[in-house]
Amino acid sequence: MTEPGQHLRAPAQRVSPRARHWWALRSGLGTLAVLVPQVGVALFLPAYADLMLLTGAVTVLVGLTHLLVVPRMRYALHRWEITDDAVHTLTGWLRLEWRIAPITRVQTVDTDRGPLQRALGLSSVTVTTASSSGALSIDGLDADDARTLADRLTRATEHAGGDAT
Amino acid sequence: MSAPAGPEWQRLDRRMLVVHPAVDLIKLVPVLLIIAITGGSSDDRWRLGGGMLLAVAVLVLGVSRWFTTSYRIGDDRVELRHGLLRRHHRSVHRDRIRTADLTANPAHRLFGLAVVRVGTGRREGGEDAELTLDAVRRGEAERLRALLLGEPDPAADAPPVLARLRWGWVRFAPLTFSALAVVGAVWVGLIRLADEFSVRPGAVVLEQTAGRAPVWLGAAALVVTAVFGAAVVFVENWWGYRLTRADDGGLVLRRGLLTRRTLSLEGRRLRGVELDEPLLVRLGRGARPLALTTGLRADGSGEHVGGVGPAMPRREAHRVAAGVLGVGAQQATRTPLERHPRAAVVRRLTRGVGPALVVAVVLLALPQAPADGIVVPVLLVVALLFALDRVRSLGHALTGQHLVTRQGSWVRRTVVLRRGGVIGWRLTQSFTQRRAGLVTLHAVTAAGRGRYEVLDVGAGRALELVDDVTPGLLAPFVIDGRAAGRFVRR
Repeated sequence: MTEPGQHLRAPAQRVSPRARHWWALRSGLGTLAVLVPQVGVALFLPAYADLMLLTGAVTVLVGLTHLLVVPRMRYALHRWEITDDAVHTLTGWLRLEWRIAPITRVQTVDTDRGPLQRALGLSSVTVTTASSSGALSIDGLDADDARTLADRLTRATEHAGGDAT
Repeated sequence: MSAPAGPEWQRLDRRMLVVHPAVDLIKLVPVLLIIAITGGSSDDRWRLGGGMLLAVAVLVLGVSRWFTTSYRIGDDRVELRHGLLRRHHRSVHRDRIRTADLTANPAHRLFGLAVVRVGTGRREGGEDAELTLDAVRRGEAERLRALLLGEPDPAADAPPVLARLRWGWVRFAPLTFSALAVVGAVWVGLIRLADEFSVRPGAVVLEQTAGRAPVWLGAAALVVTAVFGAAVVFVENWWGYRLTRADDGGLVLRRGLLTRRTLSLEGRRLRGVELDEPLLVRLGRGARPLALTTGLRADGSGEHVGGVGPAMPRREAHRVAAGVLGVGAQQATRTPLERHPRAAVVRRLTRGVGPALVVAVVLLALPQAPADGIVVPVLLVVALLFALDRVRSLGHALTGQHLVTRQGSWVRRTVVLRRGGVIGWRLTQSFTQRRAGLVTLHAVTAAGRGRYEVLDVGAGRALELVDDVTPGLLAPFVIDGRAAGRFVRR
């Protein structure tokens, strides 16, 4: 496993530092969504209260760890870069995923902002290709950066002709 | 309208005056039956009148469809007008036409007619993306198809045939999964039929008949329905199967007994081929060829996406796959494959045997688990065999024209993707793959399932593959150095 070989350097651009708050918020909400039914059960079915106390404690523990660790890991790992030829994204925390979409194959460039992203002034840029699984998205960008990026990508793809299949 | 005076508007075949109303009436039969059966004694006149009125309305509508529908094929566009109260006018530019498929249900066939579906290859839009002529005379349909796709007249000279039906292939039919579905459907149908006629055997009767029948009889009944049902479905689907090559490198697939289908796949939409070997079919030394094309209807009207033949002997399937790609028999799905690194083998084994081992330990730990002595060894051996088979299947190759990848045991899939068909990549690396120095490379394509993976390949090799197929794409990122497991250096 120590044979010489080639590697990749990570793409240059990071996402907005505020993306950490976004991921943390999402993680917290996810934990809540799991926790609320347990509280409900504990209140209305007293027979299971002890069990729910135990699972609830585990949920809170796991949720808190996730909230504290994962956003930082994501922020450290998530990168993107646009070269002359292609859009590259690197995402994931336990499972790394590098996606490549050549500029000539890009069909649409979308920006979208959910309520959470809007509250934090963030935005996602999604690039789709002709493949049903070729979409590639950069989440947690600063809203202004996202707009500039989408403009730049749209212009870049206009120059490339063909039907991109 | 001041459209350029093109050719005359044409009507559908006159025989549709009979077919449309007849088919509609037959569809109405269940409704009429319900009206008849649910009748009490009081309102019979209303009931009868309503039913008749409904039938007449359906008849009139069916007849009116012929009078209100017309089409014309111009030099640069195909137009269709239809609708009684709401007139529709649809026109499709002939440059945009990607498919012209013929189907004929039993009613059509009885009158020697066929439906022409003209498609633009757009995936979105569903029905609207199509223009349907329902229906014209069979010969006329063939002529239109050839005309719209710019093929020479079908009568002119016989195109090269890639494959035609051999009746021996029916032996693979019971081995496919659809055979199991058929068994289910037949039995559910029988039970519901019995229910319908209030034949609901009481518990006593059941005990005296079915309860006394030996188990092998039930098993035999299942097997017989499976074999018989699968054979029937096979005959209906693949009767008259013929795969021919069109001039543009595309394919024309004809098949079907009651419902005759002619499917054309345009050459420039072809991105590769796939050879599927479900376990049972593989044990019977069979395989199924598929074509990977862009824009094939995803729902495919109940068809397997891109299937270009039934399950057939493996050697035949290899030959058909190579024929579809238009390369030599050894250059498509038979390309010699490269083995994956030792770490990939270890990973297949641990992932295959690991879960079975856990189950075995749990079974042994449980106090009163029955028959541990048989279940545990069988479980472990089967898991090991599957894992070994996965190891044996794993492989990939890069030839001058294609990226070839194979994996799987339950269904072994060999995919041959044209280099030009790759429109992006994904490299994924899980935590355990990182430790083993492996990545999974996904070649993204507009055809078939959207992406095809090369499972557990060495990180360096993956980068080589990407660079070879799409030169320069990763160049700005590549750095040399001693490889750790991680394919990205931070």
